[in-house]
Amino acid sequence: MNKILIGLNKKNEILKYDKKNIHGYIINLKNYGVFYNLDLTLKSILNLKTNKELYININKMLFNKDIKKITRILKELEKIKANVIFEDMAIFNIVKKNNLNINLIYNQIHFATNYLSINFLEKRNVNNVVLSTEITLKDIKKIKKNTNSKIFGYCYGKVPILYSNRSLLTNYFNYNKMLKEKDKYYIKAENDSNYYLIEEKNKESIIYSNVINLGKYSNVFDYVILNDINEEIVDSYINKKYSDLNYNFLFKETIYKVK
Amino acid sequence: MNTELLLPAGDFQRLKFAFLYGADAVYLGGRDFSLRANNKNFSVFEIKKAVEYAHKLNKKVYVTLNIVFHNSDLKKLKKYLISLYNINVDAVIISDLFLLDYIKEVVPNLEIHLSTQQSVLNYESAKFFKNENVERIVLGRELNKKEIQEIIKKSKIDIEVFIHGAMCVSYSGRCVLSNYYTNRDSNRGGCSQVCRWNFDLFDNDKKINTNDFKIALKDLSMAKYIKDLIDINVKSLKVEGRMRSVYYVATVAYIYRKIIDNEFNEDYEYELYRCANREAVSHYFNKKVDENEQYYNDREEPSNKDFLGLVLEYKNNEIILEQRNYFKKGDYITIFGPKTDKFSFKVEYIKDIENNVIDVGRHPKQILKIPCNKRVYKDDIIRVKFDIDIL
Repeated sequence: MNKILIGLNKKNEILKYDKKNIHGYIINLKNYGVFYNLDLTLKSILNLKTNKELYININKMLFNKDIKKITRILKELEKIKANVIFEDMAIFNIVKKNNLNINLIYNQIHFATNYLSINFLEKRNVNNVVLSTEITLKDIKKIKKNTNSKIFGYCYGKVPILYSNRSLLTNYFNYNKMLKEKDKYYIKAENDSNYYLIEEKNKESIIYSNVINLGKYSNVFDYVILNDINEEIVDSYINKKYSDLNYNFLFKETIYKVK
Repeated sequence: MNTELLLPAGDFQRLKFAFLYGADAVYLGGRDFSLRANNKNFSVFEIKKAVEYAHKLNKKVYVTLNIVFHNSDLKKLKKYLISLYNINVDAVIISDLFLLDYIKEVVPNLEIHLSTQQSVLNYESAKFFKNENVERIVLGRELNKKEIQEIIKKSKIDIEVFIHGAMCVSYSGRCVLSNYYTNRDSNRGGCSQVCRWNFDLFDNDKKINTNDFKIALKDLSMAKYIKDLIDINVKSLKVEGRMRSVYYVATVAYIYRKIIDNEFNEDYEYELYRCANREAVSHYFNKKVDENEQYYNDREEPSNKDFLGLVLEYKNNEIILEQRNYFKKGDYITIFGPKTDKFSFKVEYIKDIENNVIDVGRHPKQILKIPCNKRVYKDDIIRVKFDIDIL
């Protein structure tokens, strides 16, 4: 039986979802987490009251100036037994160096694509991995077969398809002397029907895919991640009754040699 | 500490010119496992030849193994790694984590460099990879001078930085636009450069742009800051561009060699611009990036016609050359090379191989003769004379 993790939209949703059969919440650590919808400060996280597990997302690319602060934050998160989702191997090193008892979930976006990489992490006591959203169901099954780690999968929501350090919206608006009224717009390429969300956050930019919805194929994962949720979506995964499916790359192998 | 100048080599000819014009080392890709999957790339036999050639010159060859592997890519890997080790490549450049263990197990003495695809941007991450036996890290391209310096001081690992060439708009490795728009896997070498497309921008359903929305970047050029990079103990200065021409490789190597060994000259920036035909800036090194590092004008990049030919021989005050682009009698041209300081002159006549006088060199690869009073050498580059070149 897999476990459901949901990316909250608002803090007060906890009251509603605490009553449901889900395992935990994914929350961005403010200024250090990207891709999920709810950002909370360390203080707010430490004061959260819930009967579910907390998965704190600290997946921003880190710079030297962040290291000391992140070290302090990780020490605080250890006290509440929070789980930490990370991208930068600096987090792993800090946890190891400080002998912190934190359950780490590797989420180097787009990189967890084969079982050997997952086993590499397992040997270093990172036993939880969020898989890339660009691999096939066949790949996922092979990974499951060849590793003992817990496998997490994005099953519902928009997934990040570009993560940039640059303020791509601000730059465009400044160059064209236009007023930027918000931090979220959509882009559409000529000859392509998709409208992809582009978001500016912490002066960085992220472009997201359309909403994916893996439905019954979420069963392949140990942990099912649902983002951009509403109650209906969460219930559909709890009750395993799905609609409006988008299997993303589950049945579509990407190519790379075009000759 | 000698700072290494590291050039890309898309094939053996470009490797040869990279070394000839001043590179200390080159990086190249094999037919598999390399992020430029649609380049010609090198067979194992060709890598062997490249390594032998480089080592005779006391120079180095690094092989890119920098894709993010899918399960199906693992099959031929072991044999390939053993081959690379047996032919004495100087290092492999990796990005996928498992290779740290895999290489240790299969070919423990093979030197490992970490690709910029891992986007190492802080000293703690650098320390992690140092503990995993990585000898050198190619840093992410989002760092300023102070940050690079701090990483070098605190991690005590050899650091390589990009100094020239095209830039990813994303943190390296954190872009799969290509997968979603064209089904081509960017992290396995299929990048279709969607970041150079034009987009419309919508506020919900309403199109709000009159000019195209763009995310493309200007190229990187660190020509002005090479001394700074040497001063903070950067080990290797890397040029991007395995798909680029022999003219590009030779020019970029020639100019950066001069900067490393002597000093910066403002003309160099123009020459670098002309050979790539793209505007280049220093991006993060000495400022916060903004709209000035992006391309918003509709760029016209006609194929570069500056490269006129390669010197094959100098005999009887005539240059025998292999033509590359159109030139005619009366044109002013410039020649430079490893032993030839740049000089310019007017083409007084053109002859074909049978000594027939012709007015125009118009056939690529045609063998031509032009008069020249100054001694030149095989493999010197002949190009269009720029305004900055002195007659």
